[in-house]
Amino acid sequence: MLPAGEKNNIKGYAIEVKNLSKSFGSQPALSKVTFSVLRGAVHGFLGPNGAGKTTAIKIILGLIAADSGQVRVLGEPLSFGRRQNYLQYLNYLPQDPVFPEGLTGREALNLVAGMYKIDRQKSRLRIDKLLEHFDLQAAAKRRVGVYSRGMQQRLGLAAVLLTEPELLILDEPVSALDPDGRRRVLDIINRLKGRATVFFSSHILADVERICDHVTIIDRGRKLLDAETSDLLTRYAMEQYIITVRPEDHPRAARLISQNRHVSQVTPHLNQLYVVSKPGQSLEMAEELLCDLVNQGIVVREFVPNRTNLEDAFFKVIEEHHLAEQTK
Amino acid sequence: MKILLEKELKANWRSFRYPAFLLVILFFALLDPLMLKYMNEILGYFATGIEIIMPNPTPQDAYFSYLSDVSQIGIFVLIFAIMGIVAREKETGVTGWLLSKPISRWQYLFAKLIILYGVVITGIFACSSLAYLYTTSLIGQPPLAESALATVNLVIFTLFIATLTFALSTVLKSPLQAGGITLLIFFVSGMFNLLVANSAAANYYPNTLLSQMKPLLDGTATAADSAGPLAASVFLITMLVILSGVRFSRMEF
Repeated sequence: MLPAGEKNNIKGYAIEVKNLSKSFGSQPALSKVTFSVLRGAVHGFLGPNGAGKTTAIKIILGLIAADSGQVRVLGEPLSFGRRQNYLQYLNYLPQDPVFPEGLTGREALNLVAGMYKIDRQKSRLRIDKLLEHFDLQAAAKRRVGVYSRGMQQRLGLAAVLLTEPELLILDEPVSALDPDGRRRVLDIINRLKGRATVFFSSHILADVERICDHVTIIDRGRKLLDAETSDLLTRYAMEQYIITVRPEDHPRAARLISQNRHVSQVTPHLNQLYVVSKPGQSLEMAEELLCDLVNQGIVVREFVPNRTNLEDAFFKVIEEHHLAEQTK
Repeated sequence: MKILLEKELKANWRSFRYPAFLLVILFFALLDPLMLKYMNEILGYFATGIEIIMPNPTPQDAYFSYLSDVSQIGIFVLIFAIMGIVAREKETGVTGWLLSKPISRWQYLFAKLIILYGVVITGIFACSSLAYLYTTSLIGQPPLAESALATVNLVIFTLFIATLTFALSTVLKSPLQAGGITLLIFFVSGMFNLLVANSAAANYYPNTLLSQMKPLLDGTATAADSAGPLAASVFLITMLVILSGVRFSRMEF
């Protein structure tokens, strides 16, 4: 299999967004957002409802015009209102997949194949395979209008995968799927790593954590963070430590820890102490605490960073941003 | 483009929008010659005790009756059928989905227009041929060339109204707005036709195409009398397509 972009001789980033701004009337939707998506990566695009994710996606697709800023997709600059060549190599799944009325599932896939000019024989084979994979063979001759939301989402995913795109833009692709369907879709996305670029928005953060190499978090139209998923998790994991001491040392240890200048919070829980550092001071806190406890003759049985998940990290990023805004 | 034409035809056929229009004009093609032929008998059946004598219908009367019904009820049904031709897809998100694929905005619009014009032109000419043959077999043969000219007038006027509905459906948000405004224009332009009928403006007024149908069939008007309104209608159709297309190419979805 060729690496992402090689088949179509695509160079550079899959998506480059610079200082992108967009307002709807007096309501700002995006404010100077900048981020890049590496070719071959699975890139998570996160943010609470109304953060501006769908607006950014629609600008990238050329469906809405930006007020200012630059966008390049698969090396081609975006120019609103003009036909974009990159759309030939891109496929998009909206949050609530829609298909033209009256078409059956198979006809909807044929329509997609036709728009991407896929050879008829090749597309027939691929459509059969995808219908089978997504458990839609029995419903293939039924009109899409009578499909359940989950079936429509599966059909939407089949339509995206049918064209073997260089870049997949998926807006909440698994929101209507059952656990098994979700697992299968995430496996597919995982298998695409390196062969295609996946730009993926989701509110199911466990899924993003599982498959994304990189995440961009936006809120209220501003980019809050753009980082490798592992770096993000490490950064927030390092801010909370779990310290286990002998039960008789508990009160003394808690008092000592709370006096440390780098500590923002100490929470006793069973035989452990959950210690949170002030932002960005976790390493200093860890070094000092360990020394202090040992010097005071307290036996430390465990001193480990608390493993955090993307959900915790996400809320911390959002919380930090809100606090920073309030103090301005 | 072919795949978009196929999609457009399937979507509108299966939703019964185009069949509804075609069935209505087929209904008038079959009913009007029959009604005129048996008008005396029908009136006699309802009005017992009174003798009503109607002049025998001419073939021109029967064919004009069909054209006239299509120009009113047929167009009315067509407006309802196509008022959501673009607006409905904008509302449901289908337009945005399609335009995220490698097709241009003009291709999207032209696919709709080609099918719409195809259905209107083929439908009216096919049903008119049927009405002509039926009239010939029941009452007598209407003059062929004059009937064809009157039918062309009807087709062009129907295309004008269809394009107006299409353009409004393209630029407005909801099918109801598009349909409502077209109906208003349709009725007001019909009333306004009475005012301009004897002025020079009538030579370039689209509704004149309809008022010329009877004189054409009777032989009191010639093709040249319809040339002005016909050219004006074609000009308006072209302008409506261009303006709505330009507006659509800058729209956000």
